[in-house]
Amino acid sequence: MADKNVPVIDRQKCTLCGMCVDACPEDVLAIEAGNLVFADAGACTMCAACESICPERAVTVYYHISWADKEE
Amino acid sequence: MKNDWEGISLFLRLSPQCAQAVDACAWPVTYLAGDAVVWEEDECKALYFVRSGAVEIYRSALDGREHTLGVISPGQGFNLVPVLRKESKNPANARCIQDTTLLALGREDAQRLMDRYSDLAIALAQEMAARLEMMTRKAGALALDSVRQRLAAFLIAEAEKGKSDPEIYWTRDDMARQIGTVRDVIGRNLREMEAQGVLRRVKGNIVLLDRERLQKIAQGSDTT
Repeated sequence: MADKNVPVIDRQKCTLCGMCVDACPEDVLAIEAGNLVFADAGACTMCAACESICPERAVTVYYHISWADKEE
Repeated sequence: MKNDWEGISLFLRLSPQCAQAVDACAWPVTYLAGDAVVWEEDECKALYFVRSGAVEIYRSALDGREHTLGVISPGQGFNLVPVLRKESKNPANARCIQDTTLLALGREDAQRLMDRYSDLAIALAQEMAARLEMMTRKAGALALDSVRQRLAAFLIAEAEKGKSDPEIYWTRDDMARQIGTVRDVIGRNLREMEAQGVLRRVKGNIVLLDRERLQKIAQGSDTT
């Protein structure tokens, strides 16, 4: 199962246009050696700016929904 | 019994003879997350009970838009309509949103067993009534409630699920299909609720902070 703590990239759909790289407020994403990579995955806040801007719908952000008082 | 029926409430209401007959005709089937189980308008082959995982029931429009009618959790059944109405077409699509195990009961077997065992017919009718009640509430919400209300109700319902329920990760598209809107509207409403202190987004979690206010939003009594 893909890591749900960072956005999931569909590499079949990604055209490496770089719009998500520019949109990310935390500079999490980068294009390196012809690949979209997580340059700093730990800084990702899952704000979904990358998902919103991707023209190919290649980026997906997953959320689990819970009450604060049930968090462990 | 050759199949494991634990947690499938309908099965537990059957007489021993009926349960034996149903078990003899049923078979297990497993799917991966994302797999389709049935397509709408295809010939109905079986009705299904969810042993583990979760199944999304949805209809789709010609332009590709989809609307989720419900998510079937372990213990519940689906594709009951073509069995009870004796029509042969699946009324909606079903796909797994997790790795899923189902128990299938062939349509003709189900109809034959209903004719023989009234307790099976009654149990299926009760299951259908529960589904109709859910759909009635959903239709009312779509017609009468705002997107903000529907989103709040969805978030509450999802957060209330217990540990035995499947742990589902939702995309904004998934949420939009659930409540009858589009992804960007979900994003805008989540941002607004976050700014109001109702929830916060932390990594891969939407954490609900203010139960009372969220319930007021869902009821339509908080319009700020």
